Formats: sequence, C-alpha cells, structure tokens
Amino acid sequence: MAAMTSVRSSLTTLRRLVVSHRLQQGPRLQALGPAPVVHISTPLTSIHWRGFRSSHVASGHVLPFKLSDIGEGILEVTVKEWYVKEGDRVSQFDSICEVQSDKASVTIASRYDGVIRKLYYDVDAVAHVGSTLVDIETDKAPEGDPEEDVVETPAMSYNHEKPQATPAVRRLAMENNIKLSEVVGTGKDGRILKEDIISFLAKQTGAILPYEVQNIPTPVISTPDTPPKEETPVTGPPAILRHIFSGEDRTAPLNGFQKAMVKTMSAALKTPHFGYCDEVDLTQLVRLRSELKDLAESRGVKLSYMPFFIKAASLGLLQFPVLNASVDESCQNITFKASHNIGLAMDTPQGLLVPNVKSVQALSVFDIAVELKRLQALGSAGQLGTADLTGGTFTLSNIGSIGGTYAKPVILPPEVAIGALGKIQVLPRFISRDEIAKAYIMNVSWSADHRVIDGATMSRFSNLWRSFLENPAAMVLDLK
Amino acid sequence: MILRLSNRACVLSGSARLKSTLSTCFDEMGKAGIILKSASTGIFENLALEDWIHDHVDLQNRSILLLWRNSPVVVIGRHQNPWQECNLPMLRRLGIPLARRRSGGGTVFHDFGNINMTFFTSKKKYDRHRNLKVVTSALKALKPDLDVTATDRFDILLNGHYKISGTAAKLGRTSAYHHCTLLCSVDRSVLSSVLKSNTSEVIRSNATPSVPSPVKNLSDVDPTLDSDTIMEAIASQYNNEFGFDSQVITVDPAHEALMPGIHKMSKDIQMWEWIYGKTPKFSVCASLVVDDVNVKLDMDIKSGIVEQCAVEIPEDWLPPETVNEFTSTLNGSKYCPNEAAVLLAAFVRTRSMSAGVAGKIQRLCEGVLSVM
Repeated sequence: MAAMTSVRSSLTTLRRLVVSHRLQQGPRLQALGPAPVVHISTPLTSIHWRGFRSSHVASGHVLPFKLSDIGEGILEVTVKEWYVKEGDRVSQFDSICEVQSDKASVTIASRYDGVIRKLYYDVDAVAHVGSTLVDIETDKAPEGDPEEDVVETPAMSYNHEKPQATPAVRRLAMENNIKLSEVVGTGKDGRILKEDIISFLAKQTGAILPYEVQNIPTPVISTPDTPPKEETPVTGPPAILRHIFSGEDRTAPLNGFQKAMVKTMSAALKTPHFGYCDEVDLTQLVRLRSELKDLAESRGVKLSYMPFFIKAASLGLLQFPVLNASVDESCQNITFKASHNIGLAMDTPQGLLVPNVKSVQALSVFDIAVELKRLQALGSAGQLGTADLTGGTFTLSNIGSIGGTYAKPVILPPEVAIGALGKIQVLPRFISRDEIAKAYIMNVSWSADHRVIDGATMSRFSNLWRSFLENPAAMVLDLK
Repeated sequence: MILRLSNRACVLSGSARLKSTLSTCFDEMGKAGIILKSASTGIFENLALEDWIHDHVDLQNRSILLLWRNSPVVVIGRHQNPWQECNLPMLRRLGIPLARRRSGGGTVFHDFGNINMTFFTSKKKYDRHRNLKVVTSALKALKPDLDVTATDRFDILLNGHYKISGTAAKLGRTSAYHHCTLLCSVDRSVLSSVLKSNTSEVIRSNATPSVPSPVKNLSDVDPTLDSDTIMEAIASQYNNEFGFDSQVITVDPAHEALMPGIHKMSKDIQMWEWIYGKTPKFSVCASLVVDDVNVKLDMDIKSGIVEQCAVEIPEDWLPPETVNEFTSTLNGSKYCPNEAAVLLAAFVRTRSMSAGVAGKIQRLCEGVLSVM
C-alpha cells in the first residue's frame, strides 16, 4: 500500500512528463492508434498489457451532435458543404459544415473533440433543426474514476510508450537528435508541441541567436612589417551552431499552365538543337528609337525595341524561308510557312505564355507595336485566347528585359528556330584601330533544329538580322 | 479617432500573441454600440474587414454597424454559380472583378452609388427585421413621404414594386452579421447587363439561384438622396433605434498592425479556388455550331475543375482519336478560358496535324471556350 501511494504521488507531481494518455485510464482502455505492447512494472505487480485497436465497436462514447436552433423561427436548413468526412478527427470549435437557410449562411462548429463516425445528410439535403447532423466519437470517458489504484506507471524509465506528438514535431525532434521522452510537453494531456522542442534545444545549446559566436580571433593582415605567424590566443573552436530547421516538404499537383509547359517542352526534346550566339551593336537603333518615341506616343503606343527586332527577323526570314518552316513527325516533309507569325515569350502572372503576332511580313514597325500592346494587355489580364496562342512559326524571347546575356532557348514545336535576346549593355568598343567609343551591345542566342537547319544558314540569317539592326536605314530599302 | 487607433497600434504591435488590437480599442472605448466606416473601396479588403470583425471582436455585449462602398464589382453569394449568375465575358471585357462573399443569398452589383451596411451582433441579438427598420426609418426621416417597406424576404421595396435593397447573413458559433445593399445612384444599365448570364441555359446545377427583380435608384425619386446623406441618416437612426451614442469611426482595412491577419484574409478570398472553385457541382450541356457542323458538348464540373468532358462530333469532320485527345486535355483542368486556351495551344503544338485539322481544332476550341 505504501508503495502504491508513493507511485500515485509521483504520478501527480510528474503529471506534465510524458505519460501515455491512454495508460491513465486503466486497464480497460482501448487505443485508437497502433497497438502498443506495454511493459508495466510496479513494485507490486508486473503486468503485460496489450491495447487493442478498435474497429467498429466504438469504445469511446459516440455522441450525436444535433443541429441547434438558428434563431428567427427557422425550422429547416439546406446542407451546402461538408468540411469533414467520416473518420476525420475534429477538435471542439472546428468547422463541420456549412448550411444555408433563407439567405443566411451558417457555419456549424463541433461541440466535442473526437472522430466523426457518421454524416447524416448529403449535400443539398434538407436538415431539420434538432435533428442529428453527425455522430462524434469522443476519446475521453465522460466521468468516472481514473482507477489509479490498479495500474500505475512510475513515469520515465519504465515507460516504453510513445509520447504524444504530431508527425511534424516528431520529425523536428529526430532532425535535432532529441529523444521525445526527455521533452516536457505543454500541450493538451502532455502533448509535445513544436515550441517545446525549440525551448528544449535553446536550453541545451545556450545559443538563442545563431550568429552570436564568441571570441573568434580576427585575422591578422600580413604586411611585410608584421612578423609572420602571430600567435593569437584561440579560445577554442566556436560553438557548433544548432540551426533549428523546421521546414516541411510540400507536394502539390501541377496546375494547368505547368502541365502545358511540361507537354510542350517534353515534345521539344525530340528536336536536336544547336546553338549559335552573336553580339549586335544597337547604337544606331537606340538613337533611332529615341527620335521616334514621341511620335509613337502621340499615336497612343509606347515604342520599345521589340517591334524592330521582330520586323528585322521577318525581313531575314524572307531570305531564309527554311527558318520559318515546320517538319512533320516522320521527318519526311518540310512545310515552308507563308505567313511569318512571330511568337513572343511573355512572362505573365500565370507563367510563360507565347502569343504570336500574325503576318509580320505585311506589318509595319508601328503596326507590330500596336499588336504587342494588345497582346501584353490581354496577357496580364489573363485573357489570351487560342487564336493568339496558336499558329506561331518563329519565336523571339526577350529575356534580357529581365536580365541575362547569353541563353540557350528551347525551340517550341512545331517550329524550327528560336532566338533569345539578352540585355542591352553599354560597353566600350573600338570604332577604328585606336579609338574607343561607347556602344550599346546586346547578345543574341539562336537555337535551331539541326535536322533541317545547318550552322551556315543560321549564321547567314543572324548576320542579315544583325545588319538591319546595326544600320536601321537599310530596312528602308526593303520596306514593303 | 483614427490617430488614436494608430498610436495604439504602435504600442501593441509587438507580439502576435496579444489580443487583436482593434478589438482592444473597442474594449477600451467601453461602448455598447459602435459605428464604423471603411476607408477602402476595394471589395476584397472590405469583405476581409467583415470577416476579421466577425472572427476577432467580442460581440456578446457589443453591436457594430459597418458602412462601406466599393468600386464596380459583382458579388455572388457563398453557394452560387458565377456562370449562372452573371455575364463573365462582359465582366472580363469591362475589367469588373468578381467576388464571392461568405454569407448566403443572391448576386448583386456594387458601385459607388451603392451603400453596404453590415450589422454585427451576438447570435442572441440577431434580428434582421429590426436592422431593416433602421434603414427604412432613416430614409423616411430624410423624406417623410417616401414609400419604402421591408418585405418578409428581407428586401426593401420602393413604391411597393422596385427593389432597392437585398439582404444576406452569416451566422457563426457565437456571433452573426447581417448585411444589405442600398441602391442610391447605381449605374443601372451596367447592372442589368452584367447580371444577365450568357450561359445560364446550358448549365444544370443546384446552386442557390438569384431571384431577379426590377430595381430603381433612390436618387431617381429624389436627387438630394445621395450616398453621403443617406449614410449619415442611417448612422444616427442606428443610434436611435438601439440607444447607442457612437460617432462614425473610419477604419482602414489595409492596416495590418491594427488587425493582424487581415491581409491574408483579403488575399485568400481573391484566389481562384475561392471565387470559382467553391461553386457547387454542376454540369454544362451545350450545342455549338462550328464550321456549320453541330457539336454537342457535355462537361461535369466539380470545385471548378472539369471532371468529365465529352464532345460529340461527326466522325467525318474530325477523327475520333483527335477528338479524344482534345477532351482528355481538358479533363482535370480548371473551368477557366485562360487555362483551357493555354492547354489547348500546347495540345495543338505537340500533336502533329495537318493545317486543315489544326484550323478545325482551333475553331472548336473557340466554341468550347465561349461557354466558360
């Protein structure tokens, strides 16, 4: 008896330590988790106890949760949405469902902690006030003595039971090499929370600010005057910084835009790419654009460099139509497309979209600027349609507007070529043998389908394109 | 008053564990009734403000009236179907946003000529008729011969016929709010055109339908009845009816320090998954004509995602395998024209097809997208 008393009092004083919630309730306790084998030794008895997993026979108490009075004399409501399903665990005050009556939407919250055992209504069914909405099985025995005098665990060392903690908390403890049994749990029923792990660690290392390291000797800058190898007193290695990593992996399904990109890029893999890069001196184009900017603005369009790049590409494609072509699946035939539908890689809030400007060969630089403005407005509003997104024959990507110099763009099927434009940099260049001047330099990186395009073709096209941009006056000769 | 609230926010913004600061201000004021006016005209900020007050302010011994107005927006009820309730292509063209509120009820159009009023009370004191009496009495105080009455469906009718106010409510565990609109000088031509769906005939659903009614503006009967005058009258009538003595306090819903968590609430209700994804299960059954060919389209949509998509097309127009790939591209995607356009564009790119077939597929895409 005396031993029994001492065990009981140790239990009360050590109430906060990890003692299984289940074991507190006596031998008839049923476990809702995995079946533990518990070795309980007390000074008086030695009992092996095995808890059974409950299936249909509810061992906790199943309580019907009724739809309470909503007020205003309302007698029935329509169940609109369930937030839980059978088998879900709920805590008191968690939302269970949403019901609607007469323009009022009501969130019904659980009155008990427990597990949902049965839903009584389907969505769109009519429920009467006072009828049962769900059955909840509660874990605790409602009242009654805890029956402490039969089985008592003298806490700590004899306790092989797993302490209560969520999987996330367990992982955090494991990553930091902490035994859960040594941590004091401050959650409900001694449950260990994340904060408990963090404060346990803080106590262990004594470091709260990870970057506060004491007494690191400052490196001596060796000059010819100071004697080499000055022995500064080293106060031991700096404390190992325990960074508490509490991140969790998160898996989410790919959204529609990502799936589209997966599909397109996977198909692009079939194309053997080769790359060709060059640099373009845009000094004269920069001057031209600044002269034309105001005129374009007076016509309602902000003039960027893209319309020039696109028009120059189209002029180049007239001389090298193989770059505006498409190869069929079996690579038996090549189709030379008549229309130059030049695509623009566009960065929108949803991701990468590539609308195209149709029939650039028939458009002026200003027309192209107007089209770009329309496509950009639709793109940022998320309203691009299939007409704008399909039918492209050649693509330009102005990645330089965000950053970068050289790139390795991926050809978008069924096209055979693509160009990525880097940022415009101001760099010094030799204009004659001895003079250096300021030049506006942009890099271009082309990729082409090596099954039908060879390096020479790409090089000549690039040179022609470059010549139009380095000397914009030459474009006037080929205006249609 | 707002300055004092800001100072409080500076002092209390240290720890998130402290009770919400706007709530603490109300406790300090010690008044049984408080009248608030929102400084924002953004629908999402204002809806978040309503939710925040509902979740964080103790309403057991205190009632609150919130007055707010928004720039043009269409607001649907919690369990409604936006494709059934309004003309989505027109909303997109006009740049009018769509919002879904947490209370039940039908679809409304807001602009600056519309006043919104939210009555926050404990569940015990929830009484919609009494709240509407505040509104009708306030209007009658401004113009005694005005014929405004509240119906048992909680509408307010002008001259017994024209609806000038609609109601919705949300009940939580311990507190509730009842909000209603009031048409003072709304643009009625925009209202009637955006609230008429272009695809309601093809939709089959159990979502709460709106009941359309003829509407009129209060300013049509008396031009002196503008929003500011009416808001003042409602505020003073609220004090009269319930025996309170509150001034009108301006609250800025963007003030995160004063209302911790409100920014996230505002972001949550802007997500596609809330606005469109919360639509109850529905199906679309449409007959389209593409290139003089009859096409029958059947789709089942749950949580805004296309679960089943079937297209009936004459075999000589398009080969069945192509049609099957077309429908499987749409399966599992959002019922959203932008996303569908991108997925179908990727399908057209990666599936090798002749120019003729590509053109047909593209026109078929446009037909299907027109119902989204």
